[in-house]
Amino acid sequence: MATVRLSRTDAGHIPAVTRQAQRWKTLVDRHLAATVGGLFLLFVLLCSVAAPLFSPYDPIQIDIPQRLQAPSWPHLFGTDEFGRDLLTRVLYGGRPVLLTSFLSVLAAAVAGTAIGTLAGYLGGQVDNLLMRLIDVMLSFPAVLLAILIVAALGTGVPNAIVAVTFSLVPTFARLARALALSLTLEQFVVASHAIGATGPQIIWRHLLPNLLPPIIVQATAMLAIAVAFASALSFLGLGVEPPTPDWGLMVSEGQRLIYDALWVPFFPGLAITLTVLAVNFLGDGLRDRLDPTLRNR
Amino acid sequence: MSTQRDHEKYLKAVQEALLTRRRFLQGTAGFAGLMAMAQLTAGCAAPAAAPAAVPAAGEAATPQNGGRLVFAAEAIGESLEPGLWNGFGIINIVDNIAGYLTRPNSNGNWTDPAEGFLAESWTLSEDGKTYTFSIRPGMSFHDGTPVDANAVVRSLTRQTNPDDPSYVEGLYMHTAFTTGRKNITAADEMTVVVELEAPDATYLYRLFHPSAVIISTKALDELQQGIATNLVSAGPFKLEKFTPGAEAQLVAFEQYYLGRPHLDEIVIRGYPDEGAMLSAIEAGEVNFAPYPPSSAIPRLQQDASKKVVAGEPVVDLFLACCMLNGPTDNKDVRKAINYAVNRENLIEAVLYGLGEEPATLVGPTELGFDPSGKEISRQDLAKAQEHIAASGLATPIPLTFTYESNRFWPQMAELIKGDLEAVGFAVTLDAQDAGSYWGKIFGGQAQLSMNQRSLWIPDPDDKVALLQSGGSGAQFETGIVTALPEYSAKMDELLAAGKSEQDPEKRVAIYQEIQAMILEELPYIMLAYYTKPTVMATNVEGLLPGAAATERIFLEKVWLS
Repeated sequence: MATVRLSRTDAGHIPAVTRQAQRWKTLVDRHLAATVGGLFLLFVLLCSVAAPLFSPYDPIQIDIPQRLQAPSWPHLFGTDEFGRDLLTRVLYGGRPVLLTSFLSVLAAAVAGTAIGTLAGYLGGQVDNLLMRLIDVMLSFPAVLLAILIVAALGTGVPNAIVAVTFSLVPTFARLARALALSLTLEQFVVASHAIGATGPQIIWRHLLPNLLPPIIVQATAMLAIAVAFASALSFLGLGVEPPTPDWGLMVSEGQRLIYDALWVPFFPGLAITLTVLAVNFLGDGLRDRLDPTLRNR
Repeated sequence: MSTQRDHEKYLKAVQEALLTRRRFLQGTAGFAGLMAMAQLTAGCAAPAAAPAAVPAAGEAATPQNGGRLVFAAEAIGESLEPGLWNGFGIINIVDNIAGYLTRPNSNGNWTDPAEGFLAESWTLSEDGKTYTFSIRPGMSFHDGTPVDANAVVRSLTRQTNPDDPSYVEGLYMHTAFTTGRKNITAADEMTVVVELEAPDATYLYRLFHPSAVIISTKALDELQQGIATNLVSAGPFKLEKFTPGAEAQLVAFEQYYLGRPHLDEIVIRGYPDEGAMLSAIEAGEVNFAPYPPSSAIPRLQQDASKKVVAGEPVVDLFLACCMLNGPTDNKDVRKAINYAVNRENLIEAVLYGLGEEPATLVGPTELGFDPSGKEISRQDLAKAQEHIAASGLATPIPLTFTYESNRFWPQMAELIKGDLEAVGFAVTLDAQDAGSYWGKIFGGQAQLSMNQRSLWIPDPDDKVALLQSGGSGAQFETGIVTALPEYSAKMDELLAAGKSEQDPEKRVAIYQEIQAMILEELPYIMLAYYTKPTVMATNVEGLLPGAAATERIFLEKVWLS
């Protein structure tokens, strides 16, 4: 019996590259908003990090004759009261906001997860003590807590990071505790106990890997809040010091000009809005991917 | 079975129809984008063409009675106690309630001689030290009690008398009218005698300082410290309602001695946020705004429904160098700061042209103004660098720059910071709310600070008195009393001589010497003479422009056409 060797394509097989592309296409189709959000966030990050490469202007160089120019080719976003190119300042202005947001969410996720996991796993008095502490933190409105902390520590990016971190920790701690409580009842954890695994081993090998997906989803949701918080602190004058560009500060400085030179507060405001939306879309997509209960909806 | 299927179908339909978070976000993004683009397109459009010309000033219209003026103050403080500083908004309320012994000249020229108010007339002794005031007969306070000599004496002494039931700790504004006063007595029911330690050419002006309000004796006895929310005086308007921190409602006083004022009612409302104030002006919620954001002035000047009155350049904007602290205790540092600052940029970019390049504290419309000071109060980067080198300090020189976080101060600070860093300073901006700012200044804790001085009393002494050794300016804001005792003593002598000299020509020479001393040590570094604008609806008439140039805004002659 003669055998005919069929090429993979002839047999209806799809080349690996095409298969990969189809997988991506399906992913993009299913999570279009998340993809757009993720790409936009990446774009914003890239623009902020590589701002000097994109802009021919100095973000703090004053040029009074060029002040309050409406958007035009030389100045796509126009210029501000002191003649500085707004596009340049928007590009640079993302740096403090994104740095504050990413670092504070990372720090809050680490600290909150550690607190929540310990409370959930150990239970008893440790749980009581840690959760009452979290209750105290939750009793302050998050923005107010952040403002209080910056007022006490002083302005600047490092202090803003501390402030935003503090205001986000309770959310992570609550979530991690709830997850840890339910995981400790799972059979694989009980079995680990039975075979003599120590507490740290169980936390490290069983709890944390299972906590991670929902914590990541929570972190993206919190990132949007952190961007808004960081911008709010700058808006209130508690972030970076002028003339360093910062989106919140630029909106604050431009609000007087809303009737006369709308572009001055508009573009940094738009940057904040779009970034928050992008993070939200990305968070939604991640939740859909990582939450098994939503995966097939 | 079919029921089950229908139910599932129904549920699916409902789920699809529900507003999910994602749909909400997407919808919001789209809507916000559309709205923003629409707004931006409108905002970037070419400015509207100039409106039809404002009707030419022709024959004077007859003032009409009636109407309500809504006055946008920059903020409203918590207390009407005239002996305390509670911000310009409170001063605006007090000035329209108050009866003073004297008043600014009714011709509207702020620096013209004072006129009588509660005092109908006065005489001055030959040695120039004793004033005898005759109280205007038939006047009454807003509570109906008569104005007499006892009320005047009580009002002008209570702020220094801890036994007075209205006394509160911390009253200090009275120095405006008590400095140099030896004695004050009621010679009879309608005569007040004031003895001064030395002749004082400014005394009649100082009697209409906002702290020199004459208050009803009955109110002082009954309300005591409660006058802080219910000030009863004899001015053209009486206080109807005061909401601390928010607004005051004033109504016409029918028994006012010059006849009822034209307006029925004035609402003085605080707008600490410039954006909110601007929105209120745009929306027509207020028809009188003497503290508008400078950035809006060019456009508001083109608005047919509003008019803009720019006053004379009597508001000094300056930097104060505190010599109690480094590095501003170093004379070369002060000189470097002076030569580093680009005043043209400040006037152009922050004041939107509403200012003039400065000389010293004495302004161009004031007695003894010395324009030669403009040569020193000007940017000269080479000289700034020379003084930095001569200071002996390692660069960058760390410098904390303190200012109030309201009005145009933050923009000023940002530009000045750039100028200073360009010549070798490392500036830390220290924006404070008004209360914290003054706490820091009066605590002698600042290095470089920024503030203003208006000509509340129309005499050059009002500004240079900042350097009088008994005042907080000399003690804390600049610290010259401690840092430069001989200089301070000499300044005191000149200030006293300037006040007591009656011959205007000799006074000019004294004030020019004072200005030269200021430029030599630079405790104050001038930034600009600000020509403060006032925005009002086109139907607001009768405002005295001289008074409007300062923060002293008297509305008794204002009417709505």
